[in-house]
Amino acid sequence: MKLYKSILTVFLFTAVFFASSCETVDLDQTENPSAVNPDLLDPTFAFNYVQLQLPGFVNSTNGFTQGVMRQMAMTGGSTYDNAYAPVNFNGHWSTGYNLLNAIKVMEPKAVERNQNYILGASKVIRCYVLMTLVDVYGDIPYSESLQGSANITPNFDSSAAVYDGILTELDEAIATLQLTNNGSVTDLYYTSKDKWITLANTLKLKMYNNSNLLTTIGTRNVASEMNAIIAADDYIDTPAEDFVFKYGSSRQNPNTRHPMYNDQYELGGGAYLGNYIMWAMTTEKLATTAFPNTIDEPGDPRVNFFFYRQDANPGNEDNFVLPGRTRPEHYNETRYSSFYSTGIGACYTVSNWTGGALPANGFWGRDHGNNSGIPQDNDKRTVAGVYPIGGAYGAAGTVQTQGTKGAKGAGIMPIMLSSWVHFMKAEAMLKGIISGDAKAEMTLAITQSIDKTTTVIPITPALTSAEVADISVKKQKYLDYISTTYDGLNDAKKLELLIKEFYIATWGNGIESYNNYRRTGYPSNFQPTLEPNAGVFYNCAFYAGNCVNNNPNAPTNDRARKVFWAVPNTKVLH
Amino acid sequence: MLLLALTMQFSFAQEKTVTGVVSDETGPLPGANIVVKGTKRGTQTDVDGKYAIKAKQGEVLVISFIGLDDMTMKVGASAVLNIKMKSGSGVELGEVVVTSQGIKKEKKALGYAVTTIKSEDFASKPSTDVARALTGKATGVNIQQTSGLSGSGTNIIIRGYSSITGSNQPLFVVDGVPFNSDTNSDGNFLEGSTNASSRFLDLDPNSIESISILKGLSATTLYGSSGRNGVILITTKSGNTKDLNKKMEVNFSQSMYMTQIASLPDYQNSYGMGFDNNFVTAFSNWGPAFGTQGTQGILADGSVTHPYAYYGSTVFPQFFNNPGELNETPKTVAYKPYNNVKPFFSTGTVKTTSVSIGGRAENTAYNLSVGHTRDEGFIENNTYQRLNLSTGGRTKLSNGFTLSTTMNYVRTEKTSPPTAAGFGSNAAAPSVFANILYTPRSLDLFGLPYENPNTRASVNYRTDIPNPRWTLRNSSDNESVRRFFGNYTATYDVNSWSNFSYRLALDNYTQNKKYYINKGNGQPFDNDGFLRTTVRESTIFDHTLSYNFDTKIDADKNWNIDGTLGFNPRQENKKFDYVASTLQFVYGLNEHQNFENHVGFSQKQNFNIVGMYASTTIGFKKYLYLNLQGRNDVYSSLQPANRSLFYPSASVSFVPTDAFDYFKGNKYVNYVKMRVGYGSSAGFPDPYKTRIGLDTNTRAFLQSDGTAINTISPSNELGNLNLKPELVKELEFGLDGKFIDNRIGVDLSIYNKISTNLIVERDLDPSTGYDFTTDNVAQVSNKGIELGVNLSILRSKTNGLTWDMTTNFTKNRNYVDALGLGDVKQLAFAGFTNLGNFAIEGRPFGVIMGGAILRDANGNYVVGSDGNYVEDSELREIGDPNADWRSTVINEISYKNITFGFQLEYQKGGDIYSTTAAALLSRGLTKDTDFDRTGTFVLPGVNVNGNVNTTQIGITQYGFNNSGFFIPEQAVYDATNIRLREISLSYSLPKKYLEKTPFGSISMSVVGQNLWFNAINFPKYLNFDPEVLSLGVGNGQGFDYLTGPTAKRFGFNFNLTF
Repeated sequence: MKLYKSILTVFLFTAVFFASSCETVDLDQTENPSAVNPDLLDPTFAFNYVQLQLPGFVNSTNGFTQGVMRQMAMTGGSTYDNAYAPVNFNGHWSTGYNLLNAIKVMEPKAVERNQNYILGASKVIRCYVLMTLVDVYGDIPYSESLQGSANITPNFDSSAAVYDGILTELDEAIATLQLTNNGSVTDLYYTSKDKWITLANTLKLKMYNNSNLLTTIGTRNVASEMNAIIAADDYIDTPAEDFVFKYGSSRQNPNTRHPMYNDQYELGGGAYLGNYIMWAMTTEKLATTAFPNTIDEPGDPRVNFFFYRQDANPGNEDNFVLPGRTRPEHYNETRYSSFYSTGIGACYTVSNWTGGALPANGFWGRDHGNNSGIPQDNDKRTVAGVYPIGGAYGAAGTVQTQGTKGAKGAGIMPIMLSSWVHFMKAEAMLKGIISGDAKAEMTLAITQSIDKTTTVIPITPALTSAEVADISVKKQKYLDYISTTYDGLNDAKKLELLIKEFYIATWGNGIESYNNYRRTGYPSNFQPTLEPNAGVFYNCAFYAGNCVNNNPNAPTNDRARKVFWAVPNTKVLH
Repeated sequence: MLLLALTMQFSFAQEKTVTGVVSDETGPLPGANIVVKGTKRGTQTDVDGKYAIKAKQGEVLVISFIGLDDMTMKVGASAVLNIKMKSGSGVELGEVVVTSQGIKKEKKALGYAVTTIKSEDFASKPSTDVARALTGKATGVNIQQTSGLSGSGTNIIIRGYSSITGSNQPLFVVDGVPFNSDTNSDGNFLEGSTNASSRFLDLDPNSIESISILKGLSATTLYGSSGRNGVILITTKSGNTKDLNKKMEVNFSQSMYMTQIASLPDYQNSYGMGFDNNFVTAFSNWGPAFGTQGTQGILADGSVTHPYAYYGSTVFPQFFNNPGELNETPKTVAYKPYNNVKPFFSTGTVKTTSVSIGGRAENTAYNLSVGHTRDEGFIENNTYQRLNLSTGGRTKLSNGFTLSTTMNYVRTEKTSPPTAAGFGSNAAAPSVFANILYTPRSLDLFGLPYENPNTRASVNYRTDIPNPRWTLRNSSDNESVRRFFGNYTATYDVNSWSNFSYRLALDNYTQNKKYYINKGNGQPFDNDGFLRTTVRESTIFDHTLSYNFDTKIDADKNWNIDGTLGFNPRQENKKFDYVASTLQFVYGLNEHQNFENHVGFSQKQNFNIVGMYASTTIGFKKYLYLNLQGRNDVYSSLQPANRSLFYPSASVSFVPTDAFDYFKGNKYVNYVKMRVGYGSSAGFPDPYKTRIGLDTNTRAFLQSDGTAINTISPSNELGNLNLKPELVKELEFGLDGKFIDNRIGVDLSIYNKISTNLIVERDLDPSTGYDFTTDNVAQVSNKGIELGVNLSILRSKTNGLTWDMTTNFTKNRNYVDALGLGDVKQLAFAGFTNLGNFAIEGRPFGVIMGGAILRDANGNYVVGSDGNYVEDSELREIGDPNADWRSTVINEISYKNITFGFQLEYQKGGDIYSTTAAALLSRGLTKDTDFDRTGTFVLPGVNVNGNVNTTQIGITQYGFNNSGFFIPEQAVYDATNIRLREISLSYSLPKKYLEKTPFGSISMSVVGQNLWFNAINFPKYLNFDPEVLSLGVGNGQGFDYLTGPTAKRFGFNFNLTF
């Protein structure tokens, strides 16, 4: 009896042991139960990701390009040596390539399912990202990129070779978009496949124009390709075809607002605007009777849309809030003074731009390379306005009110606009690459820019009919002023005027003006850094820290290195 | 022939049952082995030391007990044979220590270092954290608090860091149960990870019987991969029912301690708020001298405009003359220094009560204990409370089974103010310490309101800094834990020298965290209010089936073999739920339904490790031992080809004082043991690193009609199908000795530990499509020396005066030998990637890389055109956080029933980047900055052209720009420090007074911890204690981000047994 009991006890113990331990000895648990299985990548939702990452990528590009282009203030350092470090580009580099990787990973499934709309549009986005990476960095990993563990140290392709490859890819994208599509599409940019084809042609035009100092890209002739695109007449030439991302006004869950609105319209003031662009739009153009232009009433109708002044009368501020430093000597050099009149000196601080006295108008940004500490000016500095970030209009007190002001961030991220395309065409006409009236093309560009700026984002409360009429009057005076000035200039100056206007029209997107500057050297009167010796300008960005630190094939970072299409330009940039 | 004759003779004798009690000087000995010589008959004594064995008259019983010499007794006519054993012939050689898998061994048989710590060293101490109470007590073990807040985390590193991105924390084993000791932080260090407590805090120090620390790999092999960073082996009173000898004993202890902030800086009282000697509402104190009138921004009567005037008279009419009238003017306040930091801190009390009851019945022993701790910190809203209930029992059945169990329930509740990292100019997340210490001298922080009377929002002298008093009352980081752990063990004695044992161990806890801030802090972050709750459930199931044996293998009893064979599957399961809400509706209610927006996520993970192990020790004549161990682990979350790893260890121990007669009775050399050991262990990666799932995002965006957009994308983490376990190897030599009549004790270890194929989370060039992956690459080594010297300075037998002094010395060289990342020579693994701890080939582990002053070719500092230093655009090594060496001196002086003890500690070297120092100096606050501020200063160095710098800068520029705010190198200090870790005076009532009372013992003591320290290389008036770890528990070290100073504690305890 006792023996049986012992056996039974042992048996029961053993049974319990194995029952409770069998889940303990399961040795194949490599799949994460809390993540979606890697085989389930649905192209429809991957395309959503790609579409939403693109404005983030553009915004990240802006973080650098707008800073060096004096549209936003460069505050990371007093010289080009320390204004940006490789680590500052980590986010840009990885946002770009993560987006490209999503397209690559979803492609086989999209091909298999004939989701050609998604696939084609994704390829166009891929091309935009790649050309932007080339424009910003020069040589980039291309043919050996996106291999995962198969190649963790991809070699870099020459910037010219990548451009050539992108042009081929754009043709492939167009071909894909022309195929029959299966499945539904959520398109956050356009309403049809055709518009993506229009965009693809426009991006080709942009690349050729970027390279207009060269004869060829690979085997492609720049001039004849540009002419062919113009002749085919399927490119973005009306605002209805503009390639923009439209933000929403939801503050939370999810936050759908323009990133700069998030930055500047909550609390804390956000990033400083560059003084140069505000000066260029309010002060630089010499006022005439036909073109009234004062800092209180600027002649450019876009000023109150671009900039919003939280404190229109900062004259009572103490010098702790306003930097008390005297105007640097080199700011008085005439090469930095107005393009229109050497009597108008370079801007400095928030003053009346010349004398160093305190301002009466409140265009309160920062000078180029001012990295000094942050005073208590959260609710005083000028922020971006209604266009394109969906902010407030004009000047009417603080917007540090947690997202309650203006269009609540429901702005746009301009990625490719018809006005810019007309500027590109005007430049090509001026250079004789394509035929046409450069001045008329430029006028159309400015008109489209002003119209877009003043109407695309609704203002609350809406402008009165008198104000709308006033904008219309101002627009005409502005166009007339440009027209008159243009006629009085030689070809080189004509080009500079054109590029300066292009510069203003790109507000909200820094890549076009950054490309233009490196191709043409214009605007030549950019505000210099406060430090007299800024070091070599950023002819390209630094390769990101996460690239150079982890990839021994990355070239040495050197700001003097030029992108292939900029090499012929010998002007010294500053 | 003789043997045959004897057998013949005995065979005629009649067999009977012999019973008795085996005891030694201290009482009955449970678990003693009794064998009838020359037969297979054997038994063990029960919990009362009783035994019963069949034997015949004239047979010889061999009685053995660990730590004592074997004894032989001849069975006589009587059926009762009580056996009194004597301690071994070698003096005090019988020290028994608990080693891996709970196996008790004589210390001399060990080929590796084991440090045993007695309960007096951690029970009833001011620190309610058992690990912190061990600080400095064991060589080779570096225990560091993250801050002095009650319930804050504690970092434990044994013999250096072996892994770069994996955990280096040791394994806790409680009563044989692997015990989860994770530190679970919801935020990163920027949000304040020092606030997360380490889960060994769930242990009640008063319920612990003893702690053994297994440092080397040759000691920990049997614990598998989780033991590779050392093992802290804890035996609780409940789990130690074997040793209960008395009928029933009740132990009661009560302690009461005070907690205060360890130190505050010495503030200057000469200058107030301002900049460049002018009064402005700056954070800084570079304003005019106190007493200034009518100049530099000070009004003629020596006052300044009321700091809250800018809120207007509708908010604060009391700060205006004629509020609301046309002639309304703000009031002014005197420009003078205030006592505005000290009142922020308070004195907390720490009360601990514990009762334990232990006893035995016939074949059953039991223990129950209850402990309650309430630990208040030195700041409001910092409380840690813990309730421990535990019970244990053991019963021996007549059929050869012994069943035992322990069960523990723990409930903890912790509240703490938020402690985000600060740089001296507000923090990026709610934080009290980031904003209090640099309060301007001329601000009457405690004479002014801290909240808006209408909205209850924070008010302060500037809008861009929340009032720390407001933060203290409106934000909290809370944690509560419910935990059960215990084990069920069944042992079946196969024969007198071997048994089977099966143990099921379970450790299960649920940790709830709640972090909130009411709306109204006025900052870009969290002004709308924020609430986050998380729930973590962790379950460990650990099964161990083992066969254990211990026997002599030859007739002469010279050779002994013992060992164990085990099968040990373990399951670790974790679940995590997270809900965060924003936009608080009604002020003050912090429940999710009172918030407008919610986001949530959840995840779970599970892995199994199935281990098989074997260990054997072959002993020869009790002076030469060979120990061989091996374990094979199979891990469920690696690909099949790389799942399994075998790792062996071996050690030899030799005791020449026992081996050679020469030493017998030698007065100078009493005992010497030499040992050498080789050990290895595995490390497994976190689960699910070989295949990475997709990222999904719901409601990523809204279309204009409000339709939500969902996305799926590949993760930016790359799976690595070839990932393998990492291997750690260690060679260790040691020498133990007792000399000069046992007055000098020496315990020396020298080790060399190398971890190869280290699993590292490495960044990738994103152009590969992925940002990071997990890979086997680096190699890290630790070479060190540990020396403990015990001196019996006084050992008077006549008047009872004794003085024991123990000196511990630890030196560890922790280097990164190779990174294995090709041309990538450095890897940031803690802190920021441009100011953090890096692994750099050929450099000490975790050197601090950050911004440095630019040097020219000759090493001179380069000064820019504005007169300030230029920062190097490259990251430079600006500090080495590893201490050169550490030493502890513990003194214990007893006279009759009074014992006085104190513990001094010294750390040599080790750098720390301190924003506390940077903030207090840059803002001109401590007496270190109380210099004449009227002149100018020329920084030593050269200008960009290489000429000697002559540019003059103002004193504000000098102080503000050169104290670490701008160039991190200037905020790095050598953390060498000396401290009085503990001082105590205890008294136990002499036994003779207790004879007529029911009490067994009564004792009381007065204890102080961290009462004095001096970080000698810091500016004098900072009074800064570098023993903080702002990066939290993990692999980062050498950073102070204003996340909370240290504490000092003092008070008394009272112990009673009956």
